[in-house]
Amino acid sequence: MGLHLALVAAAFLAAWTPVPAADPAPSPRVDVGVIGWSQGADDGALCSPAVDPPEYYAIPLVPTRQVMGTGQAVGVAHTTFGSSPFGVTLAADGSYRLTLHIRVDHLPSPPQGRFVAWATTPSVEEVVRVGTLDGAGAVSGPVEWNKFLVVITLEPDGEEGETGWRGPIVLRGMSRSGMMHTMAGHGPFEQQECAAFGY
Amino acid sequence: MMRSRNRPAPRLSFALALLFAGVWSAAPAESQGYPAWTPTAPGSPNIEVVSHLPLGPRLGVADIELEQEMSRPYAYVARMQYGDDGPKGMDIVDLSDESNPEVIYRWRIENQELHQRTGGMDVKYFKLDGRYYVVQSLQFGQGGPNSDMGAVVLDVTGLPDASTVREVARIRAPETPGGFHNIFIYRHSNGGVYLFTTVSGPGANVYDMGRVVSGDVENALVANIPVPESAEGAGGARGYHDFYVAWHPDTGTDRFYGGGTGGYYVYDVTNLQEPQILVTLTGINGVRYGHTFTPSPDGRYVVAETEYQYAPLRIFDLQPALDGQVTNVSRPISAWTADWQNLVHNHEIRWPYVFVSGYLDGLQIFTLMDPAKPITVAYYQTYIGSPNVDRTPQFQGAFGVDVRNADGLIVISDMSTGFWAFRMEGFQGWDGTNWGMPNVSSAQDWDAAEMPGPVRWRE
Amino acid sequence: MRRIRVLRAAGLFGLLALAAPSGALPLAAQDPHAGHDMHAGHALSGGWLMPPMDPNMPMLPGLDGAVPPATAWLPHFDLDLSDFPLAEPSRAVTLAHGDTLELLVSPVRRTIRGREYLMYGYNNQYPGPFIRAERGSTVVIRVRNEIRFPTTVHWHGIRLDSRFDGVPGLSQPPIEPGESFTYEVHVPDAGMFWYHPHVREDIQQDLGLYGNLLVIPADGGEGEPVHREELLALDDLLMTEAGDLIPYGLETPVNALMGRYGTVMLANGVADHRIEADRGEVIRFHLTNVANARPFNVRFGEERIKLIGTDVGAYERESWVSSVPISPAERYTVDVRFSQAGTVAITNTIQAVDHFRGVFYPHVDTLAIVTVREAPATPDRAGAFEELRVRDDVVREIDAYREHFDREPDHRITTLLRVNDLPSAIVLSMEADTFYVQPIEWNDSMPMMNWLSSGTQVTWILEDEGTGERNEGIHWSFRQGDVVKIRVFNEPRGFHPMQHPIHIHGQRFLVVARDGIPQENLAWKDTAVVPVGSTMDLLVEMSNPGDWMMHCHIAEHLSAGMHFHFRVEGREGR
Repeated sequence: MGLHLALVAAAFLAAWTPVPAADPAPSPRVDVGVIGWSQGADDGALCSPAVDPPEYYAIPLVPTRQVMGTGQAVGVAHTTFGSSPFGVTLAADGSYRLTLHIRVDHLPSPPQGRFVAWATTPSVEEVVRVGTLDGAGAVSGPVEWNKFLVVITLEPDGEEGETGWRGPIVLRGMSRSGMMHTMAGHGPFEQQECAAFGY
Repeated sequence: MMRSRNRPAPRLSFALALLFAGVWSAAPAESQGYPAWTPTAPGSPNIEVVSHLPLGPRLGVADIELEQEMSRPYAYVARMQYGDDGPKGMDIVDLSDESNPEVIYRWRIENQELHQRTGGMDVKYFKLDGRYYVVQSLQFGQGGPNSDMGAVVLDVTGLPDASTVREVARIRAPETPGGFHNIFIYRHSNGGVYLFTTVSGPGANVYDMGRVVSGDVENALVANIPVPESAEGAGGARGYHDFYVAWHPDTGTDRFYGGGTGGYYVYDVTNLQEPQILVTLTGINGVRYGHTFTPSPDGRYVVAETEYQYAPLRIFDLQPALDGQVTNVSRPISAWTADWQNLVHNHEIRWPYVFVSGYLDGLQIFTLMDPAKPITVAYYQTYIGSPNVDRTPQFQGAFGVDVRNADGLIVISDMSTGFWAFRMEGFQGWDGTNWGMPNVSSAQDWDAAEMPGPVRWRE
Repeated sequence: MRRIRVLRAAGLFGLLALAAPSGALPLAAQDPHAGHDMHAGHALSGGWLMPPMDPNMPMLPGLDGAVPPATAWLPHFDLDLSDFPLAEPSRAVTLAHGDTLELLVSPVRRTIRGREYLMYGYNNQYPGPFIRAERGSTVVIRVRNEIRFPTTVHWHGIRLDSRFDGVPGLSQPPIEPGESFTYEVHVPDAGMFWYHPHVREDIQQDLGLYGNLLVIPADGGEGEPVHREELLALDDLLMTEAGDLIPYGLETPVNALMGRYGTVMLANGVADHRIEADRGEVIRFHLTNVANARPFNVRFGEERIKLIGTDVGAYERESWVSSVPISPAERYTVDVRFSQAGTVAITNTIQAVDHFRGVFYPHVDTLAIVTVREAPATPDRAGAFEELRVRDDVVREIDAYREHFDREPDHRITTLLRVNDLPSAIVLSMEADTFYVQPIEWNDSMPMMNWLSSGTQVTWILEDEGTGERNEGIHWSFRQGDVVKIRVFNEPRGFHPMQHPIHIHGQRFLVVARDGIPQENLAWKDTAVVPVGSTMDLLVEMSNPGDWMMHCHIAEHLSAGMHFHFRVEGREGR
């Protein structure tokens, strides 16, 4: 069993070996439906391809097309509960304590700077740095909010911002809970899109 | 055979107009006037394109407002993202050279990529104590920043020097997240300038703009115009979609004309704290939720729009209700449509003309010289393309319209093709008195030394 | 990370702001719906009373005055309160091997927040008698039923003889009113268990029929680094603001969509439970969630919490936790050291959802108050409290099962919901509501819609992915000694999905993975919650022959069909 898993893991790793940015061919390895492979994650890192995060709470990451060459990038952030002896993992205030598993494909290697993932409250009043995307476009890290945004930015080299991004936003996504809108604006009271065209 | 999008086969048009308008005993919906447009002849011969200024991505433009003073040739264009791209804010277009308009200022919400939903929707300007302000209504969803923000107020007194534009206030409505879909600015007979806003809740909010620009935005919400309790679905819905407020010369009162839950309503808002319902327009065949609702200058006739496909504009005569004979009006006296397949959006009345931003039908102008028989007098296709396939099909093309009374300049904001300016042959401006009407329109007389009254308007 | 929380005033124009408490409320003010009882005192047809609603939530069109499609019922509709004795707090009883306890199931008079109610009790106590027994012993419980409903007693979590498991129609006939049944309860595992009826739990358990059974190791469990132990049975009762109990559905449960979330929180059957402690005292709390549906997230003020064990014994490793999320029927054992004199509120600290406004808001219920005296506790156990022990015995026992952790599931269960004949306003509203469903419903934000749904309109489903069979159509069979992996998936894309605390009778299991992620610190359990959208892998040791039930432990979900049974053949073909 152990050898079998190791072979599977090796196959996944090989399949996701990053392609140099200079390679103009589209990467055949892209599969955003598959959980991101993460190495050295902060909390609850996905170290097994068997990890099966809830698709319902998956966060599509949508490019802003503000950064040249990133318009075709596709990404997804999955969430799993942080490690806990309980059936659900909570922060002290009752918020869910989650691990974000971010995976972005079709991102070119930038000539300078790094792609960094952030999580922020919807009001952008609080920001946490999830981490720098690795060569496979993946990173994992904890988040302790029930509603939040995921932001991928292109940060300048040598500027280790921890409290907020400085570079342009390349992709962004909204936690599923962001779709929870006032029912005064939809549902039985009014037929209206709720979160359809924000981006 | 190419079918006219502007003039459908008469029999089908007639039958569908009857079916959807429900005006069984009244005149059918009208759209007659000129031959069909073609890509090489997109407008009627009496329309001159003064200028056209593309503004950016498809489905990126919302409403428009034109300042009325000739010395301030500025148009304000709301910027939204209804498509895949687009800014969220407002553009200021300088029309000093009408044939070469120029965007001289762009207001954008910060972190606009992170904001949910459309962004800028309606836009209005006002003048107070000698300064000019523009109010940009905003709609942001709850998944992102500023879902409680309804509008931003900018001081634009220093135009054309764009560097002098400054943000004065942000109006928030945390009780009703989702922003303001529509706004209207009115100089009330009490001397105050008030912003009426739609909210995701019952009624319309009323803000005292004097308080807003003086920094007391926290206490600026001074009134709420309700939807009658009897309205179907009232209580939790976005009570109103759109409204208009005007001086009613015959009675010397301020009147609110709102379209929303269940139909349309006319309130006396002379005392804003105690709005009095005057007329209801409910039980209209085919109308569940009203949209734009605008009276004639004397308040007798109203043009009522519903944002449903196939729905025409309906024209109602309120006189029986104003005379006290009835309290509810449910049967229109006539109806008008540009193309039975589509729907029209906003409109501005400069009696007898009604200037329409008709979505896929572009600019449309019809006359209510005989209110029972509206007739199309001019048009211009600002959007020559297909209906949407990735969004609601008909929500494409001419979104907003405005008219400058001083010289008759007509402006259109097209969701995809941007800013347009037109002139109509024979329409060099508008003053209601020239048409035997009070000089009442959406254009406010900010500088009137005295507030209007019945005598003044009848002079 | 600097965290700024901005609580914006809630409430539609002209209406009251929605209370969003950020700290523990005084016990007297803990009713989360205080001031919101829009229909208080308004008798609806058939004797129904409407649950309190947030005034910001408008009445759905067509639902004003609506009542559930069931007969409203409360004990005092049939009986006179004054005919019954005032119930007493639970008393402990230690039973040696072979001892017999007489257990009377009867109406009782209870006082809650100063008002008397006619409820149910075991031996006229609330909760029922706290039974202590030694691991490996067999005790006899003779139950007599004096309530109007048939009843049984289910010995939750105990791997006993299936004839005494208390499932009517499967392990025994129901105990009809006026009749008796004798249970022989063999207790092979140490741990904190509990007992409750397995007939219309939504009524009987909610009215007070529950109690704990502590099984102690043969050595008496000496040497634990605590000064004393406390039970905390957590419950909630659904009342109007005026304090009237909301009736139950007589023929079928109401609140069938979410289960009956109460408005008044109870600890050990009272709304003002108080505990006294000395400074530095280490108390071992045994938490049991006896509520019909509500999960709690329990905090002990700012005091540190050491997690020791759960349903069927200790964790492999003791660990520090910031709170204890506990679903219906789960138990957790924690040690808490009260480090400073003063008062400590034991709270339910959650992020509640206001679906109408589309927001989360912090909400705190006070469950109990601990008064900590200045006097220091003796002996000083601070040092031992700081120590996190590894339970080698538990690790060794679980080691025997690790080879099964990674294998493919033997069975896959999906949870679903089907509804019929619900008012269209509810269906429309629920569909809008399900733009987002959170993993766990910590509160009932739409109590009217929930209340109007009955067991005749709602069917909660456990579907066997392998066969397509559902609920009692599922027939699993195992042999004693089988180790079976069951994957439970909570389907999120249906109509109003919700978490399900899954209980397996007569066996014990390990939760070896959640969402594919291996669990790191294990303990034997009998009940585990599967959040919406998640998968949960249970490794079940089929050690106990007989016919057993697997079901959701939300009482109304169980009544609405969410159960099936399976057979474990004994090695001797029993």
